[in-house]
Amino acid sequence: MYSRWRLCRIHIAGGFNHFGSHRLASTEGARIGKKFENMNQIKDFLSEPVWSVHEYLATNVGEEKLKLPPVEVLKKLLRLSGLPLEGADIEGIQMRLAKQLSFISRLHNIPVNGEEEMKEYDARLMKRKTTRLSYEKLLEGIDHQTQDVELGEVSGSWKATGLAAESKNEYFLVKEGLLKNRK
Amino acid sequence: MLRVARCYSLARTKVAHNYSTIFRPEYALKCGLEIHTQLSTRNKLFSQSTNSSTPLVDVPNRHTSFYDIALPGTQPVLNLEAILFAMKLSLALNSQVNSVSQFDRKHYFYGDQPQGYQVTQHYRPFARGGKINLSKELDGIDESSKDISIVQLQIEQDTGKSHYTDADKDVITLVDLNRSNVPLIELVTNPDFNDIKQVRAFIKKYQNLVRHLHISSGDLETGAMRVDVNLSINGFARVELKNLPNTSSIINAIKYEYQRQVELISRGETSSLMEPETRGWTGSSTVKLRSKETTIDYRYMPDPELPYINLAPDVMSRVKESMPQLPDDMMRMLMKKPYQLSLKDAKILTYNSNQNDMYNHKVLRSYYLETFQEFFKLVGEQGSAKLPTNWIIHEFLGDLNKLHVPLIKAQEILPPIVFAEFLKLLHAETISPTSGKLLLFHILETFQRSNCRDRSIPDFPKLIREFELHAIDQVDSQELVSLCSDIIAQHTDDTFIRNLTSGKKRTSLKFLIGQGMRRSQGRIKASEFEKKFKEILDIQW
Repeated sequence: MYSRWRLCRIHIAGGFNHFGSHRLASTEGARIGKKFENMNQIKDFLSEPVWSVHEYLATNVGEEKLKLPPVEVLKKLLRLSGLPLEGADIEGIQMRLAKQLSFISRLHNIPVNGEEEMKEYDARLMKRKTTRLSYEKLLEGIDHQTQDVELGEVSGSWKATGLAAESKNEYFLVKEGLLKNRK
Repeated sequence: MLRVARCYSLARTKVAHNYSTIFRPEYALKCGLEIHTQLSTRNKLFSQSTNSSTPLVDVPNRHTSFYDIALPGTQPVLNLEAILFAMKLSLALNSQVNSVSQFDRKHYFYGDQPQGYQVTQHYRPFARGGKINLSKELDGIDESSKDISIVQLQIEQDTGKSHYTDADKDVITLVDLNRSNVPLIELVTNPDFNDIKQVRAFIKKYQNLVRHLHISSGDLETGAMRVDVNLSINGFARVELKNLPNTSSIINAIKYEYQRQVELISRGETSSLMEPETRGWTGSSTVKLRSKETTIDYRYMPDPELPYINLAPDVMSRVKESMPQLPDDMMRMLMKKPYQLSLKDAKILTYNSNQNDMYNHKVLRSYYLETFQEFFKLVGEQGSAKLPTNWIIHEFLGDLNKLHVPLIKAQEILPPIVFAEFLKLLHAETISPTSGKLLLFHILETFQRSNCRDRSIPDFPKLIREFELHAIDQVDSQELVSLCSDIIAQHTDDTFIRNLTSGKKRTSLKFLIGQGMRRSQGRIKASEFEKKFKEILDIQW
């Protein structure tokens, strides 16, 4: 099947690097593939029909076997989400939520081949094994700290608020509503 | 300003007075602390912009790099000095340092957090475990010894600072990002505190420790150290107290919250204590900020831009070797033989208050220890340990404060070996204590008048001759009798004499001796006066 993990590092005009990732997996496992070189490759990759959501939903799991979330939990979730309770199709929502949960739990159960151990904290796109930092390297790193004017690190070398549409006495401005009247 | 200070001190007295009455054994207090400490590294945590030591007077947003204000495209690079500082603190607290730790993102949205997340250590913190020991002997708690255990230590970045103003018609928040990305260590304790004295002692001790290790200014007032309190009573849900800017706020907030909850429990109104909540301190009461329903989901995730911190074993062993003696060990050393300092004096030599410009505890301690050694080299075992203690910690420091001469300057004319010579004069009773005080003050005052430029070492014998300060060894008996008789005639009456000679009011003799010392400007020993007064008045006791 379509078992692929892809890591891409796309160079975008303007110069900064952006990491993106695609995780495609099936019950057969997952892996990290070759990196993408350009936008067309990504478009091609995404345009291939590789899987179907039905694979994980009703066709594989019979509705009668679904474990429905309790009505009380559902009502609480609706309240938290700011959705109306009145007139809500509770049974319909229960069924939809149950399907989504079943889908997620299937995703969680996909075997990930090639890794002896998978930990929550390893779920990221960086090397899992890094070089050890020795005492000497630590002190060397501390001694060689330099401020880079190109990164705005020299105090007063640039005006931070100069980029803001509004500022006051060198402060950035935030309208109070944004901070205090949040839901 | 003065008025504010006065109100404040009155409030404090009142609370202190109430202290013993508010805590009741049937309502058991359980407390834990969460302390954020700003590290005094040269630069910030994930950029090299300046970590300013004068945050209160800085121009807003001056110490900000592109990363600190979260311009798109910027990436973090770890400042290794924060690792060194965290290692020092972990070792001092006996915590287990994780050889591999990592940074994670904690998401929430606020005006002073430009990234939309804070980089912290959630999954694998820098260190776990450890403790601070509090004792009756050193910290004045009620128990003879109590360990406060530590859950973990994590390195994280600080946020910017919001200044709220409603002076304008359009209500706005001013945001200063100078503090954004300043390194912090968050220390979380277990809920081991069950008494307010323990909380106070812990904060003081931890504050002194970070100052001692030179990893933070530890000042609560500037926000370099910020304390949140977790509190529960009789097993009810935990309440977190925030916005506690100084020690008195921390203590008063705990007292207030304790009383509030005790009242609720005693009235049987415990429904609000069933679920955890967060409360803020207004200065006089605690108010609800958040409850379980409004808890933020921080959506923690491992930071995808920062590699793991993977420490070689030699980092721990080499930092351990470079660690200074820790304050508690130092206090115990100073309170034992040969120094035998009182707790108060040992604290003066060990605790750095950051509030005295004339000396710091480290310089003072090494001055004391060196002088002590030199003094005993000069006088041998017969010397009294009290002499260097009293003269350095009390007289000398007192004079320095009075004259505004820093210890580091005064050492140029009175290095330990010279001060030991001065102590020897007192030990041998070449000069009396009164004359010694005059002499020391005179030397320092002359130095101060030269704007601390005349660095010539004082010639004690010459000065003693010049000012006729030498103690009178051979007191002319006739002269002494007439001086004593004169004092008796001037300062006493029949009742005074009757009470003194009968032994009913023995302290009156001290008064007469004091008058004698005053008249002779301290050059005649007190024991000579005592002998003579007893003789003249025929005192038999």
